[in-house]
Amino acid sequence: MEPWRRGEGSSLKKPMAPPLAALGAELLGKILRRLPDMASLASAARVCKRWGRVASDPAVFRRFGSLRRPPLVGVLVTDRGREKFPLYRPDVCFIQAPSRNNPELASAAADGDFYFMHHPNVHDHDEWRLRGCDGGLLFSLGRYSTDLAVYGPLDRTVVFFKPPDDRLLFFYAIVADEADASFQVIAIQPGDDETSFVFSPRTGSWVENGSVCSECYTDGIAAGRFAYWRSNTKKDDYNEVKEGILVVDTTTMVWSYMTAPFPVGESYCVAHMAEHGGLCIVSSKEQRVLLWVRDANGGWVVKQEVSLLNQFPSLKRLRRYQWMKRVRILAMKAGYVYMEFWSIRNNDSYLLVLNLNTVKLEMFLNNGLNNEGKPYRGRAHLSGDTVANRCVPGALTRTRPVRSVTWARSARSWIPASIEDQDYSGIETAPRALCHQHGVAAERRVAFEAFNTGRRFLVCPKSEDDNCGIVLCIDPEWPPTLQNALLKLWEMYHDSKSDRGKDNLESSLTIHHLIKEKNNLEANYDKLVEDVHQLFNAQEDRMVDFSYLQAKMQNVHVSDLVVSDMKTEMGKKDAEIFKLQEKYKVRMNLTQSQGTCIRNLKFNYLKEKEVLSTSTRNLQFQVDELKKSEEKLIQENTQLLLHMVVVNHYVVALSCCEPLWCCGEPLCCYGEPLC
Amino acid sequence: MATREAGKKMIMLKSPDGMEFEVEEAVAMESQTIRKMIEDDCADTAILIPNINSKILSRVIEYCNKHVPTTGATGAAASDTVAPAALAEDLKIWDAEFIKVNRATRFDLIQAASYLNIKGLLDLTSQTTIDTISDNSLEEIRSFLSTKNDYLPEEEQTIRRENQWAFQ
Repeated sequence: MEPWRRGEGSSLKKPMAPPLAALGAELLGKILRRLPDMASLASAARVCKRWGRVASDPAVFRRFGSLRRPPLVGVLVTDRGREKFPLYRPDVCFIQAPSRNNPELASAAADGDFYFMHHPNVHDHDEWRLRGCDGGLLFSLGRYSTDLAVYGPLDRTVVFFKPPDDRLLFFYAIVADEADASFQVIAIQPGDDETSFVFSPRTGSWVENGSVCSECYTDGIAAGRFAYWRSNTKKDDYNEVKEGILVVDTTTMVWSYMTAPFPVGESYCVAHMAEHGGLCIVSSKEQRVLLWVRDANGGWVVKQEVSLLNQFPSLKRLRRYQWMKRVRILAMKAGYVYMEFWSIRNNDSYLLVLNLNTVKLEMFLNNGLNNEGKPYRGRAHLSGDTVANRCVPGALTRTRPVRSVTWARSARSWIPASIEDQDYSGIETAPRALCHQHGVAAERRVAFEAFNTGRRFLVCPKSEDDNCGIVLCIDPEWPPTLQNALLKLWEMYHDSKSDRGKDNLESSLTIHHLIKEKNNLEANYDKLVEDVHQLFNAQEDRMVDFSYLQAKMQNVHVSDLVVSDMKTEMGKKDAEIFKLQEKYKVRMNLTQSQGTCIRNLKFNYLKEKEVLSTSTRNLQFQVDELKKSEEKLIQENTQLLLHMVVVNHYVVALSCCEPLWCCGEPLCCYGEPLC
Repeated sequence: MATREAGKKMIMLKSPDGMEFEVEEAVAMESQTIRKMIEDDCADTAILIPNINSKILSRVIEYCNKHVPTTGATGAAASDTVAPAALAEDLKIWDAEFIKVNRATRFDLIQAASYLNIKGLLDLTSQTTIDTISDNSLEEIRSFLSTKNDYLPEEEQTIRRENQWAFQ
């Protein structure tokens, strides 16, 4: 339980404690969190020191994050990563925002180290390439891709760290939390199912964050607490392709994919708008700005459409007189859309800022020397193709106060470029001109840079590293009119240089086209040659055919001869056959006559045979008759025999007792005599 | 000392100046701090509310008494006869009257509400303070808070410049 130290009745004895002191910081924070807007918080911060401290507390400040609209210090236009800086940075350019009556913004813009040049750990020869920005923090890859740095250009704080893996290719995104000035850097690898990493300054190390499929080949961009990578799909006339967007929510670290609702090739950016329920897309079509939000079914629907030409007559004038035609969306932050109005016919573009809520348009003004107050004109054609790679830093935040520091440009004093001049060269002989550090005689030079052109000066003669800078300027500063004229000349020179650059670009484009055409022609020529070859081949083939025919004709002649021979032979054969046939006929006649003879003979034989058979039959009859007569004779014979037997009996019976041996043998020789 | 009276559990609250208040448990439970004490069985004797004097404590109890029927589940007879909307309207008017106190009392009320963790009272009291801050000039706020400006002039200038953008 809370320590209750105050004795009983203490508050009775003492007068009431000052109410302000009685409120604890926590309680005060709770109360301040109920303030309606940023302005009241700012008022409250001025009440007294304690309130100021409480109001600056991130826990209180974060609550106003969605309400506040931080002022824009300026815009960094870059073709991110392609050009190195600090020293060689033709395409990284900081443009100050229109500051109106805000000297603080102007001083922030003037003092900010937007090119990352003035940190003690950054050397002139380090090559840092800007890769992203969010919430006023810039993220660079440098020192031959082996170091990463996140730095605040306004307060000049830097966090150095290393990439997750030196050997692999990563695409990064930085997402900053402006309330407590913390940030996260997310690194993805292109390909299917590659590991992603997250770096946060709290842990100071990379942590794996699951695998993700990505076909993106650019760095990611922050959109509120989200980061997104565009696939920048190329247009394809034959296939329907879609622009895919890879999104990660840095609070949950969950990956998701979105598909853009418009044809590929249109410029767009993603923004987190709580009032429209999360991520929205701002795209441009012709000279219209479209705000896409999610509908109830999760599809995309146009929530707001701003026709720039119709709404803003000044743009219509630009369109008419300067051929400005194209609108390129650069970024979207806190309800503001940053755009570029450009034309392929024009060398430079306009930077526009559109407030989507109030539909008010602002133009960035030039902060250069001669065109103060006129609209800013950027370079329309940055090297490289990508709008996507341009970025806009967030604004300064309360938590990072601006210091009005005037910084030294560099440790070494600046030496202007010089030109060789025969009248003024060599080592200065006057004794007063000794260099500060080395004490040796200085070298004469003639400046050839900006409004100092033509000024004679003395410089330390040592080589670049030891050089201790300018010793003395011989000529005073040129009068302002001369300076202006010189600047004008230099400007003209740079203009013509850029014109020449443009011409070069154009001619290289033409050359490219011509080379393409030449290649086409060559291809056509090759095809023609091929065709001709084929033609010749065909002709040759036909020639071969002809000779074959001739050979055939010869063959035919030969075969004719053979045929006539064959014919005569056949005639002979026919004659032979005829003879043979005649012979055959004679033979046939002979055979026929022989046949008739044989037939006659046969007939005669048959006749004879008949006669013979009849005579045989007659003879048979006779034989039969003879047989019958024989049988009759036999019968008669038997009857005669019977008669003879009977006669014998009677003889026996008549000669009873006497053996009867009359005829040789007794009839009953061994028995009793018949009785 | 928890006693029973008319079927309702009573809680004894004690202010540092020796006054004792006997309140219904339901009323006391409006305060999340006391609720926790009761739930943790720390409330068998009178609860000493250390840094809230009897005057403020009585006001707090008055507030809790008023707000118990609408927030408590065991509604009083009032909710049967009066429509809830009208009841809420009544309560608002009552709140507006209730908060018409001098600023010292109000700050004590904020502190008490915060310590006793009574959300409704804290909302009410801090909102009135917030209204004062956003409606008045800096000097008025300071005088209202009876606090001194302890910034040095240049410090104040700096902070004013730093925060200039908030007013754009």
